[in-house]
Amino acid sequence: MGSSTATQSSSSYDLSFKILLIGDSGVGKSSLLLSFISNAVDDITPTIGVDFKIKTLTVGGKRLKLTIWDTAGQEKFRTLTSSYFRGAQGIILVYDVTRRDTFTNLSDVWAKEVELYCTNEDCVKMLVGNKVDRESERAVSREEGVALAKELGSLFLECSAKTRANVEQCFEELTLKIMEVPSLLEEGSTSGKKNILIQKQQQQQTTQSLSSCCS
Amino acid sequence: MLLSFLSKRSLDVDARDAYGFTVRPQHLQRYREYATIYREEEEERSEKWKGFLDNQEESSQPHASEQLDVRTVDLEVINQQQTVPAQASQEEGNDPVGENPVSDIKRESDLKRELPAYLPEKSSHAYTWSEIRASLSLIDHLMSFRVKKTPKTKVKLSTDVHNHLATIKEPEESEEENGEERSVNEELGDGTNTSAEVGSADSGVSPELSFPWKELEFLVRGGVPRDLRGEVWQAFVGVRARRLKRYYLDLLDPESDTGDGQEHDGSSLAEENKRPSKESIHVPEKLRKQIEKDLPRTFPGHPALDERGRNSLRRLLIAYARHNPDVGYCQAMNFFAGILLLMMPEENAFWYVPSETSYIFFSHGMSVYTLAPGSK
Repeated sequence: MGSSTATQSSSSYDLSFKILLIGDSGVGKSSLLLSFISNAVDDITPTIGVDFKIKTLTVGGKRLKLTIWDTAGQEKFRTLTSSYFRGAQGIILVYDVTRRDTFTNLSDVWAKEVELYCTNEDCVKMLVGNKVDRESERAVSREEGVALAKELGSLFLECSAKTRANVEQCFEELTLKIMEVPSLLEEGSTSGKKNILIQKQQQQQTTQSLSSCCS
Repeated sequence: MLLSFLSKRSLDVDARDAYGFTVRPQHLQRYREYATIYREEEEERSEKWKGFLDNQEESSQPHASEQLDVRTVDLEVINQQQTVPAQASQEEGNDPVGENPVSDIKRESDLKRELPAYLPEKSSHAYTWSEIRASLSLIDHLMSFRVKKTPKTKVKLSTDVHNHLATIKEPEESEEENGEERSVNEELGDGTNTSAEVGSADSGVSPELSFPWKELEFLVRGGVPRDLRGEVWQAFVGVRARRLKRYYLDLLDPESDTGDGQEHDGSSLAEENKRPSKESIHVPEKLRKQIEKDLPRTFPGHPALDERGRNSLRRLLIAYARHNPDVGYCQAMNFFAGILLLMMPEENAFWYVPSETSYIFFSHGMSVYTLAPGSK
């Protein structure tokens, strides 16, 4: 279900954050993630269930490890994806600027999901309008996006996974904002320590494999 | 089945494997190194299976020498395609538009020789049902005893279909089953296969016992050759016993039928029974959109999933969503369906899909996740 692309460079980071990508099917959540991770967006197949990727980067002088969870958009998987909100410090709500329904669904459906399942009240939300490279087909104006972001109390960006415009900014701004929130910063550093502990344990008992990304 | 439309050359040039999937760049060199070995193994497998199936056919049909000849011819055609791919691919390469019809005709002429009675009226359509080869029909028949459940559906079925379902439901009464089988087969106008099945059943020895299961198991473990794979799969789920004639076509009937459904209700009982009821045939717009969205995202770049292949895939998914409205369409079904369409014709794929596993996976599976810990 999950596939980690990079980095077993275990203790080489100061903070660890969990970030969640949600939004309707086909808005480009996986593309956004892939664009951020590997600079290239190929033909992407629908996400089944959940996928995650790990990226380490340096923001504000801190080495960060981002665990980015990419969820399936289809309603069928809603029961499944909802359990992945737990412990997320940042949530990226993605919509497609060329499809209005994906935008309205964010406030009608996804914002409620966040409210319902998110365990940390301080968690940072970010509204992202994807596919701005298709400007001629635009169905949701920038102003509307800004207005919704204000309403949700979230950050806002418009980006394009295809051209990579604003993609890195999107994740960087989010992490910067997370680091401004003391409780999240605390979580990030403890979860980092916890991970290190687990890794130490792992080294001790190499026979046992640490499994279960689903627990 | 879409696989048969692919020319050998296009597979080689794009560095795709025998099933048309791109070989990942990091494995490409290894793949090329082993290509000859793969080919030899495949030929060996084909030989073994051919021998086995010929034996089966001989033992089950002592008087079917005529059909055996057809069998050989059919295999020769396949062999020709394998050994002289350059010619075929040249033809197809020169005329990309005519590519599909060419191989289609080849396929259909094979079928015509083998099973003339089964060819439906609309044989030109991609979604036609095609019977699996006669030599596999014994396996199909044996497996069909395991087909117990009626298809999960709310779609109303015509009366003869109900009779058919009754036989599927009660596999214990084997004599009646045979009787029913015969009548069903006669109804479908099939003479040759019935004689084989009934012959083996009448001979007193249970076919299930006399069948060389060990040998079959050995063959399966060794791998199924590409050209047999789809049909072997079908045989193993007893696809013929699952199938209800015209059901798939009815599912694909255009929406116009649902619009004036009320009129049909009044007119005649038979008409009413034939047409699926209004609610059941309705596929929510949401699912339709989802399917549309996922069509180009199913094995993107696979040569078989061109315009035609995607149309097939769309029909198959919509038909299933209608057939099983509780599940509808769930992402990931597109991949299963896509794989099946590579191996077998559309309607065969439809009857292959609603196996118990897929039902459990796509409906109950999701609700199991609901109970999983982690949700607040």
